[in-house]
Amino acid sequence: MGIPRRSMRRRPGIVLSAALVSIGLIAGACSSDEKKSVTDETAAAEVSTAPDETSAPDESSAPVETDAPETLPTDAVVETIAVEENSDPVPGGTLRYGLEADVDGINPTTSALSAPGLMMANAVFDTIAAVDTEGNAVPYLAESITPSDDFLHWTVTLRPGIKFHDGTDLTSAAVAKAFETQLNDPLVGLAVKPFYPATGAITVIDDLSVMFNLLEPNAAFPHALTGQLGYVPSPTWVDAALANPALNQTPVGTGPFKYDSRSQDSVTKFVRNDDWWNGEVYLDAVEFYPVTDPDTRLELLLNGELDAMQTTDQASIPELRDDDSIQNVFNDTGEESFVMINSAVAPFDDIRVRQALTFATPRQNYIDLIGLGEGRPADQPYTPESKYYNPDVTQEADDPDAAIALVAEYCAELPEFCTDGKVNMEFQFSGPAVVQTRIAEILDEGWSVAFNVTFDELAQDEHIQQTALGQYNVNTWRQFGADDPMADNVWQMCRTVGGISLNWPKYCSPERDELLLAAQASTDPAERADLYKQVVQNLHDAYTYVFLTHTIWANSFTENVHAICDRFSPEGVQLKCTGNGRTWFDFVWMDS
Amino acid sequence: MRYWLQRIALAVLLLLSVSILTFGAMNVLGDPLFNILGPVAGDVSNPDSVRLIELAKKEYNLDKPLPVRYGIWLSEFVRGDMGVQFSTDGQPPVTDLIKERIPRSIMLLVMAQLMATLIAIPWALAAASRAERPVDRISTATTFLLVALPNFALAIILKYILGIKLQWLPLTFRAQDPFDSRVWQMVMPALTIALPAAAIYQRLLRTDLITTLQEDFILMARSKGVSRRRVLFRHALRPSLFSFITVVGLNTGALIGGSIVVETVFRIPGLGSSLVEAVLREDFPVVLAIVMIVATAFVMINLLVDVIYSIIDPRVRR
Repeated sequence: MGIPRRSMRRRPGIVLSAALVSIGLIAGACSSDEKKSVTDETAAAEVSTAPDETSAPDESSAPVETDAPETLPTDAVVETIAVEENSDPVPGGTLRYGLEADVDGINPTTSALSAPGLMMANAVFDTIAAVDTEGNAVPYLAESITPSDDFLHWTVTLRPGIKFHDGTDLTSAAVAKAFETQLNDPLVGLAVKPFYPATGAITVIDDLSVMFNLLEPNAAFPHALTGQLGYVPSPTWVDAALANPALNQTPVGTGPFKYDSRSQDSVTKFVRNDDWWNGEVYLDAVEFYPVTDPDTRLELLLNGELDAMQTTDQASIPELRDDDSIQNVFNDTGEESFVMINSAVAPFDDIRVRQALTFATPRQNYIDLIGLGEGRPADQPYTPESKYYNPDVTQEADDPDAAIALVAEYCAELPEFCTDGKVNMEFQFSGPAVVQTRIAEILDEGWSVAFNVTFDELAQDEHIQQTALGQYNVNTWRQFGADDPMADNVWQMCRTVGGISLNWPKYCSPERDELLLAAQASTDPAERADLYKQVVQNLHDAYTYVFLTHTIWANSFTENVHAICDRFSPEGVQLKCTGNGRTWFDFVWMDS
Repeated sequence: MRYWLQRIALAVLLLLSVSILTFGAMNVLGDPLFNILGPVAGDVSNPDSVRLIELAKKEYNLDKPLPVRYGIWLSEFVRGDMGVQFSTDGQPPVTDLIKERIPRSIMLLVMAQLMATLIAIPWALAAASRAERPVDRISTATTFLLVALPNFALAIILKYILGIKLQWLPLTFRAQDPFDSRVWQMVMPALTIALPAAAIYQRLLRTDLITTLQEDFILMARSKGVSRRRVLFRHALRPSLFSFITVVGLNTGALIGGSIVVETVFRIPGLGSSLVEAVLREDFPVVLAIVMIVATAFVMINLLVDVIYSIIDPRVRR
């Protein structure tokens, strides 16, 4: 019908609200993923954003102040599962996976794929490149990915002999078809177009080779091919789905599993692809169950009604960790939770007001009462272990006197935005959700020393829409944390400020753009690290984000699931097995 | 005949009222365009977005006045065309969704009614035969508890006891499992609906039974030496069932409402859970279709009860 679909399916209920949202978009050079979260470092991206409450626990489990932890975690929350040595895979079985939500469609060229969407896509599609355990992008569907000397052009040569599930050959034309469809999609294209020329963004060289032509040099470009942008669907199916969007529910790729059936908000089933190009697939099938309530999801896993699940619910983490029968992959090095400020609208177009809000933010209370001692405090988009972490940048907060002084100065100059000596502002969040209301109240307790805060609780979709269109003052949000920081450019550059702005705070800093472009063009790790540290300082100095916590993603499996992290490229390179809530099923097997 | 025409006209009027209210509310309270286009719907400064907005408006008749849209929807609905889902990425038409989900909801309701009836009758017999004794008092307290307990709370309690602790019953429903498995998976959800209903039926039947047990023909039977059990089952039960059957019929409508919560809690992809999902997505065509189906079922059941009443007692028609 030619009309684009909305990005994600909303999640019901409290937990829901916590949820994500987003417009998931793919970025030519960026990535992001999930609904609730964003960013798989590797990849291509989508915009997922979400009220950071997603990671917050349900109010029922929120502690009272006296329960606040005395010490906060400082070490990275990173647990993984080792490769199984000498394992003897048993064919058969159906893996039942609990997702945090369903999505509207599973078409990587037109659907905004959140974390659940990417999980399902991982079963049925393969990406051109994949991220190894060292964080490097390595060829996967591609045999080689080669840059020009100036990193403006990248030639992708596909492996020969790979077929789609419908029998079509994987060719360069298929890659071009997928890319051009993404580029032309009104929503997905928003994150792609800014990084490619208006014409000639991709050139077919021969049957197996294409050239991506970029606007600026990008030495990290292969990372853009490890996520949604890197999925290659059958061109026959892409054409058919453009004509009949119902086919967006029945994906056709080259992946280890083939589409079998899908019942909206109930179950989506993929069955084994016996002719998979990268090896033998052991599971008979994978079934995905959207279970929006994290407590219910946890309960189903612990009672054996699910074999695996994903979650960002902090209250679930201790239970998962304490259960010996559960295998966990925890990771908090991905997205961050933060307060986000719209710099394009008064009074927050004045940096003094943004600073005042930052100083007035009761960050410690948030960390104690919402983070529950599980999430590490965040100062910037990187965790302290990252080579891009800038130790000189710390998140200011909990300084009401400084906030009062700045606001007094502002109100003296611009009294029309103030009442009784305080700045008037609106705090927007999605709901109804008890936990989000609680977050709003906690933040308001601090802000109220210098601000007259009006709560604007909106239905999730409307909340996202207004954020995307810049119709907000302040909200809570989650993103960042890509495998390669280049993938987060889309959120930060001047070129993504627009009617629908993926630079949500609508803050344009030409200096930051220069730094980001220089960093993506650089092949010198030390130089890149230095440039991104400068970006961190620039982000801090703009006062458009108040970082709160690093979000913990958990992927958990029952003990009869094996080879979760036994994932390899055809060359035998071990690949990363999780990323921002996503896992793969390539060589997974189950015993009885 | 006039009575029947009046009843049918009233039923049609009621359904029209429901449809107008629902259609109006869904269109006034939400923004259909956003559910179709996402943020593109608000990006009116972008010519590409404006083109898509216009296209969507035309395709979904959003460029027409509300009464006209209602008229179009109604004429299509009565012909069996419930439209396409708004927030879709090519998801199936509403009729396909309804066809897939309605059998599960009917199955749940039938099982719940059967269970409620099978629980209520022996329970009422036991209580009535020991009226005002400790057994009856405990039974009365239990019925009050069950009636007062919200469905979702009862569901959680049953899941914890029967599903998690005792592991007698599965916690969730799997639509793709074989039929016998699905019936087994439906037991706990059906029980969640059935228990409060059984409590209501028990209260009613117990009262009627106590009244019946005081009738002369019961005394006669007892004096002739008929056993207490036989008196209860053969002589007292049957004449006491009239109100019971009526209430079972009328209560079906209430159970439909209860099933919405239960389907959501137990993750049964039926009409109830679809309604919840559709409301949260502001997927108007789905909401409208399900509300109309439920309303029609409710009205039809009430009409049927009226019919039965009028046959049993012709005075009702006057």
